[in-house]
Amino acid sequence: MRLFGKAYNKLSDEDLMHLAQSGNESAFSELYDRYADRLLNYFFKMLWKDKEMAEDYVQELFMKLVKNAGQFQEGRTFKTWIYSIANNMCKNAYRHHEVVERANTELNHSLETVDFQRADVEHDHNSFRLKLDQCLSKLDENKQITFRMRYDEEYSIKEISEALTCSEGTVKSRLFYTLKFLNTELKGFEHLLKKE
Amino acid sequence: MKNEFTYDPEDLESLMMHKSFIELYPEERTFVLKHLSSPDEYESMRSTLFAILETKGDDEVLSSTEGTKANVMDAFRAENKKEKWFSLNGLFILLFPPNRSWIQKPAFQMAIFAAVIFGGFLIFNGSNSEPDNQLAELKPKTTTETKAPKADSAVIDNIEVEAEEITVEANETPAETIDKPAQTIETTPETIEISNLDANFDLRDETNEKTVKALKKESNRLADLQENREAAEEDTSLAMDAQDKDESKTTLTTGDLASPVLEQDTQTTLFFTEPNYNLTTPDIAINEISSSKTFKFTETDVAQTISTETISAEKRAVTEVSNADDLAKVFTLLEAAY
Repeated sequence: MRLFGKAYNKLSDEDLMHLAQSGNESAFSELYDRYADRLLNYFFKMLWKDKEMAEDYVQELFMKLVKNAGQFQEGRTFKTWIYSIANNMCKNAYRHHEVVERANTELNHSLETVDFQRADVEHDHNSFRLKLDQCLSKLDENKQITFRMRYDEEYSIKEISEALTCSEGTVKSRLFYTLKFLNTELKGFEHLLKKE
Repeated sequence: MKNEFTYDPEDLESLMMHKSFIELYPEERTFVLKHLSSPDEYESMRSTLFAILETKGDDEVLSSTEGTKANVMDAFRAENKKEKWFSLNGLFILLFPPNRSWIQKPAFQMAIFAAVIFGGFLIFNGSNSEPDNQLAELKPKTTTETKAPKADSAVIDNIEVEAEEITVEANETPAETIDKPAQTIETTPETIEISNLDANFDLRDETNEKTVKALKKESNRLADLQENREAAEEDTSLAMDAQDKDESKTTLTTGDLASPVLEQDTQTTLFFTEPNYNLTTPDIAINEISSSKTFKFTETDVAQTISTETISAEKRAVTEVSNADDLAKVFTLLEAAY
Protein backbone atom coordinates (compact mmCIF):
# COMPACT_ATOMS: atom_id res chain seq x y z
CA MET A 1 0.00 0.00 0.00
CA ARG A 2 1.23 3.45 -0.81
CA LEU A 3 0.82 6.73 1.01
CA PHE A 4 1.49 9.88 -0.99
CA GLY A 5 3.47 7.83 -3.46
CA LYS A 6 5.62 6.28 -0.75
CA ALA A 7 5.52 2.62 0.25
CA TYR A 8 4.93 1.82 3.90
CA ASN A 9 7.67 -0.77 3.89
CA LYS A 10 10.15 1.98 3.08
CA LEU A 11 9.17 4.16 5.98
CA SER A 12 11.12 4.08 9.22
CA ASP A 13 9.70 2.51 12.33
CA GLU A 14 9.30 5.92 13.88
CA ASP A 15 7.38 7.34 10.92
CA LEU A 16 5.11 4.34 10.92
CA MET A 17 4.48 4.75 14.61
CA HIS A 18 3.58 8.41 14.15
CA LEU A 19 1.15 7.43 11.44
CA ALA A 20 -0.28 4.72 13.65
CA GLN A 21 -0.75 7.28 16.39
CA SER A 22 -2.98 9.25 14.06
CA GLY A 23 -5.01 6.12 13.36
CA ASN A 24 -3.33 4.83 10.23
CA GLU A 25 -4.17 1.15 10.18
CA SER A 26 -1.80 0.26 7.36
CA ALA A 27 1.13 1.78 9.20
CA PHE A 28 0.30 -0.19 12.30
CA SER A 29 -0.06 -3.35 10.25
CA GLU A 30 3.39 -2.77 8.78
CA LEU A 31 4.86 -2.35 12.25
CA TYR A 32 3.24 -5.57 13.34
CA ASP A 33 4.69 -7.42 10.38
CA ARG A 34 8.16 -6.09 11.14
CA TYR A 35 8.26 -6.97 14.80
CA ALA A 36 5.76 -9.69 15.52
CA ASP A 37 7.99 -12.61 14.57
CA ARG A 38 11.08 -11.14 16.19
CA LEU A 39 9.24 -10.52 19.39
CA LEU A 40 7.64 -13.92 19.26
CA ASN A 41 11.04 -15.58 19.11
CA TYR A 42 12.36 -13.26 21.78
CA PHE A 43 9.53 -14.16 24.11
CA PHE A 44 9.95 -17.76 23.17
CA LYS A 45 13.57 -17.70 24.31
CA MET A 46 12.91 -15.61 27.33
CA LEU A 47 9.84 -17.48 28.51
CA TRP A 48 11.13 -21.01 28.66
CA LYS A 49 10.48 -22.06 25.11
CA ASP A 50 6.75 -21.83 25.57
CA LYS A 51 5.36 -20.99 22.16
CA GLU A 52 1.80 -20.37 23.27
CA MET A 53 2.93 -18.14 26.05
CA ALA A 54 5.16 -16.28 23.62
CA GLU A 55 2.23 -15.86 21.25
CA ASP A 56 0.09 -14.51 24.05
CA TYR A 57 2.80 -12.11 25.08
CA VAL A 58 3.19 -10.81 21.55
CA GLN A 59 -0.53 -10.13 21.35
CA GLU A 60 -0.50 -8.50 24.77
CA LEU A 61 2.44 -6.36 23.79
CA PHE A 62 0.74 -5.03 20.66
CA MET A 63 -2.44 -4.41 22.62
CA LYS A 64 -0.38 -2.24 24.94
CA LEU A 65 1.04 -0.52 21.91
CA VAL A 66 -2.48 0.27 20.69
CA LYS A 67 -3.64 1.68 23.99
CA ASN A 68 -0.44 3.53 24.84
CA ALA A 69 0.53 4.73 21.40
CA GLY A 70 0.50 8.31 22.63
CA GLN A 71 3.32 7.54 25.04
CA PHE A 72 5.77 7.07 22.23
CA GLN A 73 7.81 10.22 22.27
CA GLU A 74 9.43 11.92 19.37
CA GLY A 75 13.17 11.35 19.17
CA ARG A 76 13.03 7.91 20.71
CA THR A 77 13.88 4.78 18.79
CA PHE A 78 10.89 2.56 18.25
CA LYS A 79 12.94 -0.64 18.42
CA THR A 80 14.30 0.12 21.86
CA TRP A 81 10.91 1.32 23.03
CA ILE A 82 9.11 -1.83 22.03
CA TYR A 83 11.82 -4.03 23.47
CA SER A 84 11.76 -2.14 26.73
CA ILE A 85 8.05 -3.00 26.93
CA ALA A 86 8.84 -6.60 26.10
CA ASN A 87 11.55 -6.73 28.75
CA ASN A 88 9.25 -5.36 31.38
CA MET A 89 6.73 -8.03 30.48
CA CYS A 90 9.43 -10.67 30.84
CA LYS A 91 10.45 -9.30 34.21
CA ASN A 92 6.89 -9.55 35.38
CA ALA A 93 6.80 -13.11 34.14
CA TYR A 94 9.95 -14.00 36.01
CA ARG A 95 8.54 -12.61 39.18
CA HIS A 96 5.67 -14.94 38.92
CA HIS A 97 6.88 -17.76 41.13
CA GLU A 98 4.72 -20.50 39.84
CA VAL A 99 5.72 -19.82 36.29
CA VAL A 100 9.39 -19.75 37.18
CA GLU A 101 9.17 -23.01 39.08
CA ARG A 102 7.33 -24.68 36.26
CA ALA A 103 9.89 -23.42 33.79
CA ASN A 104 12.76 -24.70 35.92
CA THR A 105 11.12 -28.07 36.17
CA GLU A 106 10.67 -28.29 32.43
CA LEU A 107 14.21 -27.19 31.79
CA ASN A 108 15.62 -29.70 34.25
CA HIS A 109 13.57 -32.40 32.65
CA SER A 110 14.83 -31.43 29.24
CA LEU A 111 18.41 -31.38 30.38
CA GLU A 112 18.10 -34.75 32.04
CA THR A 113 17.06 -36.31 28.77
CA VAL A 114 20.14 -35.07 27.02
CA ASP A 115 23.23 -37.23 27.10
CA PHE A 116 25.89 -34.66 26.49
CA GLN A 117 28.71 -37.11 26.16
CA ARG A 118 27.11 -39.18 23.42
CA ALA A 119 25.53 -36.40 21.45
CA ASP A 120 26.69 -35.78 17.95
CA VAL A 121 27.45 -32.35 16.58
CA GLU A 122 23.86 -31.54 15.73
CA HIS A 123 22.76 -32.66 19.11
CA ASP A 124 25.65 -30.80 20.63
CA HIS A 125 24.35 -27.57 19.24
CA ASN A 126 20.88 -28.19 20.58
CA SER A 127 22.27 -29.30 23.87
CA PHE A 128 24.45 -26.27 24.03
CA ARG A 129 21.50 -23.97 23.48
CA LEU A 130 19.50 -25.77 26.11
CA LYS A 131 22.34 -25.53 28.55
CA LEU A 132 22.85 -21.94 27.64
CA ASP A 133 19.20 -21.19 28.32
CA GLN A 134 19.43 -23.00 31.60
CA CYS A 135 22.45 -21.01 32.62
CA LEU A 136 20.89 -17.75 31.56
CA SER A 137 17.79 -18.53 33.60
CA LYS A 138 20.03 -18.65 36.65
CA LEU A 139 21.08 -15.09 36.08
CA ASP A 140 19.16 -12.15 37.28
CA GLU A 141 16.65 -10.74 34.84
CA ASN A 142 18.68 -7.67 33.93
CA LYS A 143 21.76 -9.66 32.90
CA GLN A 144 19.63 -12.16 31.06
CA ILE A 145 17.78 -9.49 29.11
CA THR A 146 20.97 -7.65 28.34
CA PHE A 147 22.62 -10.81 27.07
CA ARG A 148 19.62 -11.73 24.94
CA MET A 149 19.39 -8.32 23.40
CA ARG A 150 23.10 -8.26 22.69
CA TYR A 151 23.66 -11.73 21.24
CA ASP A 152 20.23 -12.84 20.09
CA GLU A 153 18.72 -9.61 18.86
CA GLU A 154 22.10 -8.08 17.99
CA TYR A 155 21.40 -4.74 19.58
CA SER A 156 24.24 -2.30 20.06
CA ILE A 157 25.38 -1.29 23.52
CA LYS A 158 23.78 2.11 23.05
CA GLU A 159 20.44 0.69 22.00
CA ILE A 160 20.42 -1.68 24.95
CA SER A 161 21.17 1.14 27.32
CA GLU A 162 18.27 3.12 25.86
CA ALA A 163 15.90 0.19 26.04
CA LEU A 164 16.84 -0.65 29.60
CA THR A 165 17.26 2.99 30.60
CA CYS A 166 20.69 2.47 32.05
CA SER A 167 24.20 3.62 31.22
CA GLU A 168 26.34 2.00 28.55
CA GLY A 169 28.92 1.12 31.19
CA THR A 170 26.32 -0.87 33.08
CA VAL A 171 25.45 -2.77 29.92
CA LYS A 172 29.11 -3.58 29.26
CA SER A 173 29.62 -4.74 32.80
CA ARG A 174 26.57 -7.01 32.68
CA LEU A 175 27.71 -8.55 29.40
CA PHE A 176 31.22 -9.19 30.67
CA TYR A 177 30.12 -10.92 33.84
CA THR A 178 27.47 -12.93 32.00
CA LEU A 179 30.03 -14.15 29.52
CA LYS A 180 32.43 -15.01 32.31
CA PHE A 181 29.68 -16.91 34.13
CA LEU A 182 28.68 -18.83 31.01
CA ASN A 183 32.29 -19.71 30.37
CA THR A 184 32.37 -21.37 33.74
CA GLU A 185 29.00 -23.11 33.41
CA LEU A 186 29.54 -24.45 29.90
CA LYS A 187 32.69 -26.41 30.71
CA GLY A 188 30.95 -29.61 29.64
CA PHE A 189 30.90 -28.41 26.05
CA GLU A 190 34.64 -28.00 25.76
CA HIS A 191 34.78 -30.29 22.75
CA LEU A 192 32.22 -28.21 21.00
CA LEU A 193 33.83 -24.99 22.04
CA LYS A 194 37.28 -26.10 20.94
CA LYS A 195 35.82 -27.15 17.60
CA GLU A 196 34.48 -23.69 17.14
CA MET B 1 53.48 8.92 31.43
CA LYS B 2 51.94 5.60 32.27
CA ASN B 3 48.99 4.67 30.10
CA GLU B 4 46.11 3.67 32.43
CA PHE B 5 43.53 1.40 30.84
CA THR B 6 39.99 1.85 32.03
CA TYR B 7 37.60 -1.00 32.56
CA ASP B 8 35.76 -1.47 29.32
CA PRO B 9 34.28 -4.93 28.77
CA GLU B 10 33.02 -3.98 25.34
CA ASP B 11 36.60 -3.46 24.32
CA LEU B 12 37.36 -6.89 25.74
CA GLU B 13 34.51 -8.36 23.76
CA SER B 14 35.81 -6.67 20.66
CA LEU B 15 39.28 -8.04 21.27
CA MET B 16 37.88 -11.54 21.69
CA MET B 17 35.92 -11.25 18.49
CA HIS B 18 38.90 -10.22 16.40
CA LYS B 19 42.11 -11.46 18.02
CA SER B 20 43.49 -14.45 19.83
CA PHE B 21 45.67 -13.85 22.85
CA ILE B 22 48.90 -14.24 20.90
CA GLU B 23 47.70 -11.64 18.41
CA LEU B 24 47.19 -9.00 21.03
CA TYR B 25 49.55 -6.10 21.42
CA PRO B 26 51.45 -5.91 24.70
CA GLU B 27 49.22 -3.12 26.07
CA GLU B 28 46.15 -5.14 25.06
CA ARG B 29 47.51 -8.19 26.85
CA THR B 30 48.03 -6.07 29.92
CA PHE B 31 44.46 -4.88 29.66
CA VAL B 32 43.09 -8.43 29.24
CA LEU B 33 45.09 -9.87 32.07
CA LYS B 34 43.88 -7.08 34.29
CA HIS B 35 40.37 -8.51 34.09
CA LEU B 36 41.02 -12.20 33.40
CA SER B 37 43.21 -14.56 35.36
CA SER B 38 45.16 -16.08 32.48
CA PRO B 39 45.52 -16.27 28.71
CA ASP B 40 43.70 -19.63 28.83
CA GLU B 41 40.67 -18.00 30.34
CA TYR B 42 40.77 -15.47 27.57
CA GLU B 43 40.81 -18.22 24.99
CA SER B 44 38.08 -20.13 26.77
CA MET B 45 35.82 -17.10 26.92
CA ARG B 46 36.55 -16.44 23.30
CA SER B 47 35.45 -19.98 22.40
CA THR B 48 32.26 -19.58 24.45
CA LEU B 49 31.47 -16.34 22.72
CA PHE B 50 31.91 -17.91 19.31
CA ALA B 51 29.83 -20.91 20.29
CA ILE B 52 26.99 -18.63 21.43
CA LEU B 53 27.05 -16.69 18.19
CA GLU B 54 27.39 -19.87 16.13
CA THR B 55 24.50 -21.69 17.68
CA LYS B 56 22.22 -18.72 17.60
CA GLY B 57 20.91 -19.70 14.18
CA ASP B 58 20.05 -23.17 15.41
CA ASP B 59 17.16 -21.90 17.44
CA GLU B 60 13.71 -22.67 16.27
CA VAL B 61 12.26 -19.75 14.34
CA LEU B 62 8.63 -19.12 15.10
CA SER B 63 6.09 -17.17 13.14
CA SER B 64 3.13 -15.42 14.61
CA THR B 65 -0.28 -16.65 13.65
CA GLU B 66 -2.83 -14.74 11.60
CA GLY B 67 -5.28 -14.98 14.45
CA THR B 68 -3.00 -12.93 16.67
CA LYS B 69 -2.66 -10.25 14.05
CA ALA B 70 -6.42 -10.17 13.47
CA ASN B 71 -7.03 -9.66 17.18
CA VAL B 72 -4.47 -6.88 17.36
CA MET B 73 -5.83 -5.10 14.29
CA ASP B 74 -9.38 -5.33 15.65
CA ALA B 75 -8.21 -3.72 18.85
CA PHE B 76 -6.46 -1.02 16.85
CA ARG B 77 -9.61 -0.24 14.86
CA ALA B 78 -11.76 -0.15 17.96
CA GLU B 79 -9.35 2.13 19.76
CA ASN B 80 -9.03 4.57 16.91
CA LYS B 81 -12.75 4.57 16.21
CA LYS B 82 -13.38 5.50 19.79
CA GLU B 83 -10.79 8.23 20.00
CA LYS B 84 -10.63 9.36 16.43
CA TRP B 85 -11.80 12.89 17.07
CA PHE B 86 -10.76 13.21 20.66
CA SER B 87 -7.12 12.24 20.56
CA LEU B 88 -5.23 15.46 21.06
CA ASN B 89 -2.00 13.66 20.51
CA GLY B 90 -3.24 12.36 17.18
CA LEU B 91 -4.38 15.86 16.23
CA PHE B 92 -1.03 17.27 17.24
CA ILE B 93 0.77 14.67 15.18
CA LEU B 94 -1.51 15.44 12.27
CA LEU B 95 -0.86 19.17 12.47
CA PHE B 96 2.81 18.96 13.36
CA PRO B 97 4.15 15.78 11.81
CA PRO B 98 7.75 15.14 12.75
CA ASN B 99 10.53 14.74 10.26
CA ARG B 100 9.08 17.39 7.99
CA SER B 101 10.23 20.87 7.28
CA TRP B 102 8.23 23.70 8.76
CA ILE B 103 6.68 24.58 5.42
CA GLN B 104 5.36 21.06 5.00
CA LYS B 105 3.55 21.01 8.32
CA PRO B 106 -0.22 21.24 7.86
CA ALA B 107 -0.58 23.65 10.76
CA PHE B 108 1.71 26.15 9.07
CA GLN B 109 -0.02 25.68 5.75
CA MET B 110 -3.42 26.29 7.30
CA ALA B 111 -2.12 29.38 9.06
CA ILE B 112 -0.82 30.76 5.78
CA PHE B 113 -4.14 30.03 4.10
CA ALA B 114 -6.06 31.77 6.87
CA ALA B 115 -3.74 34.78 6.65
CA VAL B 116 -4.28 35.01 2.89
CA ILE B 117 -8.05 34.84 3.31
CA PHE B 118 -7.98 37.48 6.04
CA GLY B 119 -5.74 39.72 3.98
CA GLY B 120 -8.00 39.34 0.97
CA PHE B 121 -10.98 40.23 3.09
CA LEU B 122 -9.28 43.37 4.35
CA ILE B 123 -8.25 44.41 0.85
CA PHE B 124 -11.73 43.75 -0.50
CA ASN B 125 -13.28 45.85 2.23
CA GLY B 126 -10.75 48.62 1.68
CA SER B 127 -11.51 48.83 -2.04
CA ASN B 128 -15.25 49.02 -1.45
CA SER B 129 -15.16 51.79 1.09
CA GLU B 130 -14.81 55.45 0.12
CA PRO B 131 -11.24 56.56 -0.36
CA ASP B 132 -10.37 58.44 2.71
CA ASN B 133 -6.72 58.65 3.38
CA GLN B 134 -7.13 61.25 6.07
CA LEU B 135 -9.30 59.58 8.57
CA ALA B 136 -8.24 61.92 11.30
CA GLU B 137 -8.87 65.07 9.31
CA LEU B 138 -10.82 67.64 11.21
CA LYS B 139 -13.29 69.15 8.85
CA PRO B 140 -14.86 72.49 9.61
CA LYS B 141 -18.43 72.16 10.67
CA THR B 142 -20.77 73.77 8.23
CA THR B 143 -24.27 74.62 9.19
CA THR B 144 -26.94 75.38 6.73
CA GLU B 145 -29.55 77.76 7.75
CA THR B 146 -32.74 78.08 5.85
CA LYS B 147 -34.43 81.28 6.24
CA ALA B 148 -38.14 81.63 6.34
CA PRO B 149 -39.86 82.80 3.22
CA LYS B 150 -39.91 86.51 3.08
CA ALA B 151 -43.46 86.71 1.99
CA ASP B 152 -45.50 88.19 4.76
CA SER B 153 -42.59 87.97 7.11
CA ALA B 154 -44.14 90.75 9.05
CA VAL B 155 -47.04 88.50 9.81
CA ILE B 156 -45.51 85.10 10.16
CA ASP B 157 -42.04 84.90 11.45
CA ASN B 158 -40.14 81.96 12.84
CA ILE B 159 -42.92 79.47 13.03
CA GLU B 160 -41.91 76.21 14.52
CA VAL B 161 -44.04 73.22 15.04
CA GLU B 162 -42.60 69.99 16.22
CA ALA B 163 -45.76 68.09 16.86
CA GLU B 164 -46.83 65.60 14.31
CA GLU B 165 -50.40 65.27 15.36
CA ILE B 166 -52.19 68.16 16.84
CA THR B 167 -55.64 68.10 18.29
CA VAL B 168 -57.69 71.01 19.34
CA GLU B 169 -59.24 69.90 22.52
CA ALA B 170 -62.46 71.34 23.80
CA ASN B 171 -62.61 72.88 27.17
CA GLU B 172 -64.55 70.67 29.44
CA THR B 173 -66.52 73.43 31.03
CA PRO B 174 -68.55 75.40 28.52
CA ALA B 175 -69.24 79.00 29.16
CA GLU B 176 -72.83 79.47 30.19
CA THR B 177 -73.35 83.13 30.48
CA ILE B 178 -71.89 86.23 29.06
CA ASP B 179 -70.89 87.36 32.51
CA LYS B 180 -68.75 84.34 33.14
CA PRO B 181 -65.12 85.12 32.42
CA ALA B 182 -63.46 83.24 29.67
CA GLN B 183 -61.65 80.19 30.79
CA THR B 184 -57.96 80.01 30.42
CA ILE B 185 -56.66 76.78 29.09
CA GLU B 186 -53.50 75.75 30.78
CA THR B 187 -50.46 74.93 28.83
CA THR B 188 -48.97 71.52 29.39
CA PRO B 189 -45.22 70.98 29.49
CA GLU B 190 -45.38 69.44 26.06
CA THR B 191 -46.95 72.61 24.66
CA ILE B 192 -45.66 73.84 21.36
CA GLU B 193 -46.62 77.31 20.53
CA ILE B 194 -47.30 78.73 17.13
CA SER B 195 -45.06 81.57 18.00
CA ASN B 196 -42.19 79.18 17.88
CA LEU B 197 -42.90 78.26 14.33
CA ASP B 198 -39.91 79.14 12.28
CA ALA B 199 -38.43 78.41 8.93
CA ASN B 200 -38.15 74.72 9.76
CA PHE B 201 -41.88 74.48 9.81
CA ASP B 202 -42.69 72.32 6.86
CA LEU B 203 -46.09 73.10 5.50
CA ARG B 204 -45.85 70.22 3.11
CA ASP B 205 -45.85 67.83 5.97
CA GLU B 206 -49.02 65.84 6.10
CA THR B 207 -49.59 66.48 9.76
CA ASN B 208 -49.00 70.15 9.47
CA GLU B 209 -51.25 70.29 6.48
CA LYS B 210 -54.03 68.76 8.47
CA THR B 211 -53.39 71.17 11.26
CA VAL B 212 -53.65 74.13 8.96
CA LYS B 213 -56.86 72.81 7.49
CA ALA B 214 -58.32 72.28 10.89
CA LEU B 215 -57.32 75.75 11.99
CA LYS B 216 -58.78 77.23 8.86
CA LYS B 217 -62.05 75.48 9.44
CA GLU B 218 -62.10 76.67 13.00
CA SER B 219 -61.37 80.13 11.79
CA ASN B 220 -64.35 80.02 9.46
CA ARG B 221 -66.57 78.82 12.22
CA LEU B 222 -65.47 81.60 14.49
CA ALA B 223 -66.06 84.09 11.72
CA ASP B 224 -69.59 82.77 11.32
CA LEU B 225 -70.17 83.09 15.02
CA GLN B 226 -68.90 86.63 14.94
CA GLU B 227 -71.30 87.49 12.18
CA ASN B 228 -74.17 85.92 14.05
CA ARG B 229 -73.29 87.89 17.12
CA GLU B 230 -73.18 91.13 15.19
CA ALA B 231 -76.52 90.31 13.61
CA ALA B 232 -77.93 89.55 17.02
CA GLU B 233 -76.64 92.82 18.40
CA GLU B 234 -78.31 94.67 15.56
CA ASP B 235 -81.56 92.86 16.26
CA THR B 236 -81.21 93.69 19.95
CA SER B 237 -80.67 97.33 19.23
CA LEU B 238 -83.66 97.34 16.94
CA ALA B 239 -85.72 95.68 19.57
CA MET B 240 -84.59 98.14 22.20
CA ASP B 241 -85.48 100.99 19.91
CA ALA B 242 -88.86 99.48 19.42
CA GLN B 243 -89.21 99.00 23.17
CA ASP B 244 -88.43 102.60 23.67
CA LYS B 245 -91.20 103.36 21.30
CA ASP B 246 -93.55 100.73 22.68
CA GLU B 247 -92.89 99.65 26.24
CA SER B 248 -95.60 97.02 26.17
CA LYS B 249 -93.58 94.83 23.88
CA THR B 250 -91.39 92.09 25.15
CA THR B 251 -87.97 93.12 26.25
CA LEU B 252 -84.95 91.10 25.29
CA THR B 253 -82.12 90.99 27.67
CA THR B 254 -78.86 92.05 26.33
CA GLY B 255 -77.16 89.08 27.77
CA ASP B 256 -79.41 86.65 26.06
CA LEU B 257 -78.78 88.21 22.73
CA ALA B 258 -75.19 89.13 23.21
CA SER B 259 -73.95 85.88 24.54
CA PRO B 260 -75.87 82.93 23.34
CA VAL B 261 -74.70 79.81 25.11
CA LEU B 262 -72.98 77.36 22.95
CA GLU B 263 -74.60 74.03 23.32
CA GLN B 264 -72.58 70.93 23.45
CA ASP B 265 -73.70 69.88 20.01
CA THR B 266 -72.79 73.24 18.60
CA GLN B 267 -69.20 72.86 19.56
CA THR B 268 -67.01 72.28 16.64
CA THR B 269 -65.21 69.05 16.71
CA LEU B 270 -63.24 67.88 13.81
CA PHE B 271 -62.36 64.30 13.34
CA PHE B 272 -59.88 63.18 10.82
CA THR B 273 -60.10 59.97 8.98
CA GLU B 274 -56.91 58.67 10.48
CA PRO B 275 -57.10 57.41 14.00
CA ASN B 276 -55.55 59.47 16.72
CA TYR B 277 -56.17 62.66 14.80
CA ASN B 278 -58.65 64.69 16.69
CA LEU B 279 -59.13 68.38 16.49
CA THR B 280 -61.54 69.92 18.90
CA THR B 281 -62.17 73.56 19.40
CA PRO B 282 -62.22 75.03 22.83
CA ASP B 283 -65.55 75.12 24.45
CA ILE B 284 -66.09 78.83 24.62
CA ALA B 285 -68.87 81.25 24.11
CA ILE B 286 -69.14 83.66 21.25
CA ASN B 287 -68.25 86.59 23.36
CA GLU B 288 -65.19 84.77 24.55
CA ILE B 289 -63.78 84.49 21.14
CA SER B 290 -62.54 87.98 21.19
CA SER B 291 -61.26 87.82 24.70
CA SER B 292 -60.03 84.29 24.73
CA LYS B 293 -56.49 84.15 23.62
CA THR B 294 -55.65 80.55 24.10
CA PHE B 295 -56.60 77.47 22.17
CA LYS B 296 -55.52 74.12 23.27
CA PHE B 297 -54.25 71.58 20.81
CA THR B 298 -53.72 68.05 21.88
CA GLU B 299 -52.09 65.14 20.19
CA THR B 300 -53.11 61.64 21.03
CA ASP B 301 -51.37 61.59 24.32
CA VAL B 302 -49.91 65.04 24.66
CA ALA B 303 -51.88 68.16 24.80
CA GLN B 304 -50.39 70.98 22.90
CA THR B 305 -51.45 74.49 23.11
CA ILE B 306 -51.27 77.12 20.48
CA SER B 307 -51.34 80.42 22.10
CA THR B 308 -52.75 83.05 19.86
CA GLU B 309 -51.57 85.58 22.31
CA THR B 310 -48.04 84.39 21.92
CA ILE B 311 -48.45 84.43 18.21
CA SER B 312 -49.39 88.00 18.24
CA ALA B 313 -47.28 89.44 20.95
CA GLU B 314 -43.88 88.93 22.28
CA LYS B 315 -42.07 86.49 20.03
CA ARG B 316 -42.17 88.07 16.64
CA ALA B 317 -45.50 86.53 16.05
CA VAL B 318 -48.09 87.11 13.47
CA THR B 319 -50.33 89.82 14.54
CA GLU B 320 -52.76 90.54 17.21
CA VAL B 321 -55.07 87.60 17.11
CA SER B 322 -57.84 88.53 19.40
CA ASN B 323 -60.79 87.68 17.31
CA ALA B 324 -61.90 85.38 14.61
CA ASP B 325 -60.98 87.74 11.84
CA ASP B 326 -57.42 87.93 12.88
CA LEU B 327 -57.23 84.22 13.28
CA ALA B 328 -58.72 83.76 9.85
CA LYS B 329 -56.10 86.10 8.55
CA VAL B 330 -53.39 83.98 10.04
CA PHE B 331 -54.76 80.89 8.49
CA THR B 332 -55.09 82.57 5.17
CA LEU B 333 -51.44 83.40 5.30
CA LEU B 334 -50.56 79.92 6.36
CA GLU B 335 -52.55 78.51 3.53
CA ALA B 336 -50.91 80.86 1.11
CA ALA B 337 -47.55 79.79 2.33
CA TYR B 338 -48.55 76.20 2.02
